[in-house]
Amino acid sequence: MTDTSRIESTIPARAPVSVPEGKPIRYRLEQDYTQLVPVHVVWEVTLACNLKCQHCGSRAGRPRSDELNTAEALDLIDHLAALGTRELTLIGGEAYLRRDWIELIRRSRANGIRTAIQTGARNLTDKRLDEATEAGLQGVGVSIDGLPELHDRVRGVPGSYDQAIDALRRAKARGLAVSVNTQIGAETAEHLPELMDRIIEAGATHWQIQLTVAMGNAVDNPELLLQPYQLLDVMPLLARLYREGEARGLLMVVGNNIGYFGPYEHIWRGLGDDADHWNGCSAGQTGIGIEADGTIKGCPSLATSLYAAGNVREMSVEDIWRHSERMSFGRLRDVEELWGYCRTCYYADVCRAGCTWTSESLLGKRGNNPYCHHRALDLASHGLRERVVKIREAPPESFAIGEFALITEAIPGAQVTPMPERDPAAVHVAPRQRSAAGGALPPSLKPCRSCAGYIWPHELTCPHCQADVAQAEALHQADAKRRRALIERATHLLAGVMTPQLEATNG
Amino acid sequence: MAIIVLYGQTITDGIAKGDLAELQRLEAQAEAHLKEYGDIPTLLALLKVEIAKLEGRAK
Repeated sequence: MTDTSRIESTIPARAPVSVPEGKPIRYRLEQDYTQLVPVHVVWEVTLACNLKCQHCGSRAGRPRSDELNTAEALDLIDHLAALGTRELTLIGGEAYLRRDWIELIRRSRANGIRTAIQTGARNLTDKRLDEATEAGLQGVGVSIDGLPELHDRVRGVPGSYDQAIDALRRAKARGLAVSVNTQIGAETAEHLPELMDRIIEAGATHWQIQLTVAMGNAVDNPELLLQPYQLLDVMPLLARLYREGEARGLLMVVGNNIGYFGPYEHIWRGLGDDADHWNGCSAGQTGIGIEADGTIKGCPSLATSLYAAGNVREMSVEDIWRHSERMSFGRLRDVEELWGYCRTCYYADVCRAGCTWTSESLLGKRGNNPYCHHRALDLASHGLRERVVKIREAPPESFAIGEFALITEAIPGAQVTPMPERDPAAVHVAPRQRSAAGGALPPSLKPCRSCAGYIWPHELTCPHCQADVAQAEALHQADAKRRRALIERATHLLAGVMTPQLEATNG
Repeated sequence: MAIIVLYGQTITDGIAKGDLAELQRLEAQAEAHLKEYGDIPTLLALLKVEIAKLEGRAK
């Protein structure tokens, strides 16, 4: 095979960008929004797959008939680099079932792009790992959906759990950054504590959690889906595991469909930095999804039928990114397209109903998302809960959606009180300045220092706990000052005692 | 501004920040030191007590 990745790009890549210390390279800077930079690109390089996942949204298995050839793929990487892409995740199907996947890694790294794969890890052999490492691969994310019986059943192949854990260890031994990706369905929660122990033992440093979404095969197997009201149990469990994992060197990262603005938002969204919070779906604003045939979407998960914004065989990725209406919906939408509970929610204008893909795949229309902890808690305080029931099958295509009915019902044994009427006109809307490129910054909230709930910056009294916002902030600042002094003192003291230890160890 | 975590695409290069994470790291370092060298302040206090006892007996 000709190594076309050694042919140098003629397209100038953008200058490197720095993110704040400790933040991942995919951290979005203000300029990413205003200059419309597709920071993170997720690329299904082939639809070929060697697992048979019951929840697979893309119904992967066989390759698409018209997947991009090597020259097209390498050219696309160069164009992404020119647009400012900083991170590329290769997925499938199974990325390494594409014969030129090593060339793609090498080209991406040559462009200065952080490059990782997301994998089910079946037959991720030593040879494959060695070649990928040599080509510059930096990270391997392995999908593990529970302990062996559940994982193997959901992934459709006996022994796939063992292969996944083994791949973690072997990737770690090669110096790659290793993480685990877990989908939470109806049966997953009880597996999580032991699964955490096992992946720490296998060397994982990051653990990404998200909810299984009603797309593709998951519509065929609706029993796999978590019910929205189950968030009331799952979210406190996740918060506990976040803390335990943090103390043991495992950083839990919550995916875009875990949320929103419940009592744990300040803990995990910013990896401990409470200045960061959920600020809406980023589809078409700072991210791109690519299907193996060159179809471009604003997010890799979105339904092809609704969000295919163009194909790189017909127009440039730059033109699709900047001008396609199906790409720009996220830049232009506002609270008027929200509906149901989300339309009058306190967080409506910053949240925009959470993950577009999750809500639209479920209910057939974006803008109302029952998978929300804030919402589940609010409903529960009135004795109510929500569950979903399938009413329409999904067609057999990749990334196809069906439809589910949303049922609001009394919590068994609870006293029901009516939900208050909320005026849509009373929803706070933050003004957005649109840049010449067409992008706009999402609004920022601040945490109330009394209850830790997020509030709009203009609030004088916290709408959640009724605290005096300024007074609580002053107390918080005093506490923070004391903590910083202790940290400084401890750092200084331990630097003196730890250095001889290190010297002795290094010997 | 924000960390965007797309479905299934794990982060492998972020680290926990904030006072809690920093305090926990320092706590772990301090505990490692105690494990390696023992609790010097408590040891010192015990030494002083025993010395004082012996000195008292010698009088």
